[in-house]
Amino acid sequence: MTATIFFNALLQCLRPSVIFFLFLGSLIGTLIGALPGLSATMGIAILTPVTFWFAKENGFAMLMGLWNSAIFAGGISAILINTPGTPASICQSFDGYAMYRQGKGGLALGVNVIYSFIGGFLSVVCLILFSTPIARFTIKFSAPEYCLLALFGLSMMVAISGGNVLKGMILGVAGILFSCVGLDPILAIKRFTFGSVNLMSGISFIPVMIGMFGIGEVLYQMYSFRKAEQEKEMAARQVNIALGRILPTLKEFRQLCVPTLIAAFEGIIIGAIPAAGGDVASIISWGNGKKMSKHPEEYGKGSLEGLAVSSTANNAVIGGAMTTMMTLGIPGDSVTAILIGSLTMYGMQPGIKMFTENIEFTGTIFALMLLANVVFLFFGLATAKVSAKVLNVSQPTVWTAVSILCVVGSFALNNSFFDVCIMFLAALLGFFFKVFEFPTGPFVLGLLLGNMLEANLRRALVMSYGNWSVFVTRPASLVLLLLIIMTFCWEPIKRGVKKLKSAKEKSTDTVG
Amino acid sequence: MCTGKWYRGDTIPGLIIALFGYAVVVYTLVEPTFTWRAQTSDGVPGGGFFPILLGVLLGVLGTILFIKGLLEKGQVTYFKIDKEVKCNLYKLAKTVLAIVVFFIIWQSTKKIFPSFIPCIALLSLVLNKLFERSFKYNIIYTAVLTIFLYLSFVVGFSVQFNI
Repeated sequence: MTATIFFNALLQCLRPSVIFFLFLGSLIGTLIGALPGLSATMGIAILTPVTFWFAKENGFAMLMGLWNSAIFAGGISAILINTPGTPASICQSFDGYAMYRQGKGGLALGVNVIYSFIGGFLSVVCLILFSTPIARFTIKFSAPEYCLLALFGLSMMVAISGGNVLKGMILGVAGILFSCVGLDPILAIKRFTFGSVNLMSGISFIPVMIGMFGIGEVLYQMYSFRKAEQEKEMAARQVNIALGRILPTLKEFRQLCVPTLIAAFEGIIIGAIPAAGGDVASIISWGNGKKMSKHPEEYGKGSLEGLAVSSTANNAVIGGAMTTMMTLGIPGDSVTAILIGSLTMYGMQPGIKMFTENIEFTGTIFALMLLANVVFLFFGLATAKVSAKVLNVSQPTVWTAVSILCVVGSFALNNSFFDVCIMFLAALLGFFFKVFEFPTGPFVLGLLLGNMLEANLRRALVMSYGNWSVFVTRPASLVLLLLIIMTFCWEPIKRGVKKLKSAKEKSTDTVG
Repeated sequence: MCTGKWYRGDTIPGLIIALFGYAVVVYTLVEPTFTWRAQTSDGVPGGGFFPILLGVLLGVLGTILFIKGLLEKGQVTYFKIDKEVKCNLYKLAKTVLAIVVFFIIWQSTKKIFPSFIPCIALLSLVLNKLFERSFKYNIIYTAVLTIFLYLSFVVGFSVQFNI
């Protein structure tokens, strides 16, 4: 991407209508992020169908504003009521809430906004600088590489299924299986359509996402609802501790420079890894920050550095995730998975084509990402003290609105009641997945990447006249294959080395 | 503590997944168009290749989960039903039922009159009642939400809810 294209796109994005939708998205994102139980994924899933009525710049402005703001706003409830608004803000509750109890709530809210902005801004700069070379590299990719790329995305998702690797694999496979519904990508044979015309085009991805992350989440919250806990939380929201100053001093800012820069780059790299989201980045950066800090004993007890590090990391993930999505077509997290669906609805395909045929719109997306960070910085600082009021909304208020918006949104996509049924079934499935502790991520990714995996596998075999060695004889595909094997073997190897180490230590102790 | 109840934990989910996986395999094998190899070119997978492969994989993984559940002998439980959870489940079932009834009424009356917006208002009233919101709150909430949906989706976006 040339500077001219980017600056032209930036100028286009400074139109009043785009700025309006950016602000609107930012406002909705702040509400969604600040309310515990509502995630950025849920917000994007529900709003995506709405954006199809707008010009694509306006639609994406709204989504980008929402996404960036929701991640930063997750820190508001983490700081004020010790409950992360989004999974990515889990580490902000460690230090942010302690700061709030010490009467430094305003400073905690201010640091959250400023360092979320710094993390987000740096990640967008990296996205602008590195996405074009990565995309250029993918020109050499053919069917075998795309097949293995899809498999790599899936293997990463399964590998980080939080101790539930077996369940992650099951849902990953199930997701790919569901992607087989509809017309065969090579031979156009009807598969699992059971005579239904609606099923011929396959299971739509966006209604599934709306159902799983919308009504599915509401049903789970209803199931796990504890009245006593809710009352305790509502009482905590009413407590009015003085918030104090918002901005950090210049000395504090200087002290935070190095650790937050490291956290930003950690966040960007973690974000670029398929399926590793803000929660992973935040936890890793907070842990590393503690190890490298001059005052590790303060971490978890109201450390300004701890809060700044985790705030930086969780917003830095966004640019990393976008890099993977825009260049390789592999979602970096669940939000980028929906954005792939959104781009497809606009007739665009993430990957190299975004940097050739749709280069202008790619520039617009980059510019919107940059502006979204600026918007939430001003918006967040201006409303830091008022934002505490958002938390007075109770869960049942949100449940009704989310349930109804899910129905309306899934219908409005294609004016199809069939999509509403798919959404509702996905919601029930999502509820059971959560109850039985199945990670939903691999299912969603399997459904999204299944077609890419199958079509490219079979295309590769058509190209090689059925010779499977095509996957190991091409350098790029061989590297990808080795990466996939590494992903699956990493955990057992790590466990084996740990066991060996502990056995060695034991034997040394016995000899001693 | 081991309760010895084999069906708890991952046993039943594992069994359902395994049966689903094997059912896919059987269905694919029975269907004549779902061939393992394409009939058009040699050595290239056909339409049944992926479903069979994934069905077998799902069946095997489901079986492993089922066996894992059996070996755990009820030590892991996902449904810890106490009085409050029972009440929550009851409310959840009523919510699901309310949404299903909404679908039925909407679809069966849409040809008679534009029923979507009145049905949405009704659903909002029912859900708020289920979630124990006060009468006054329920009325105001429903009115605001319905007007918002009508203005944005019906008037603004011209969504045809009666198709």
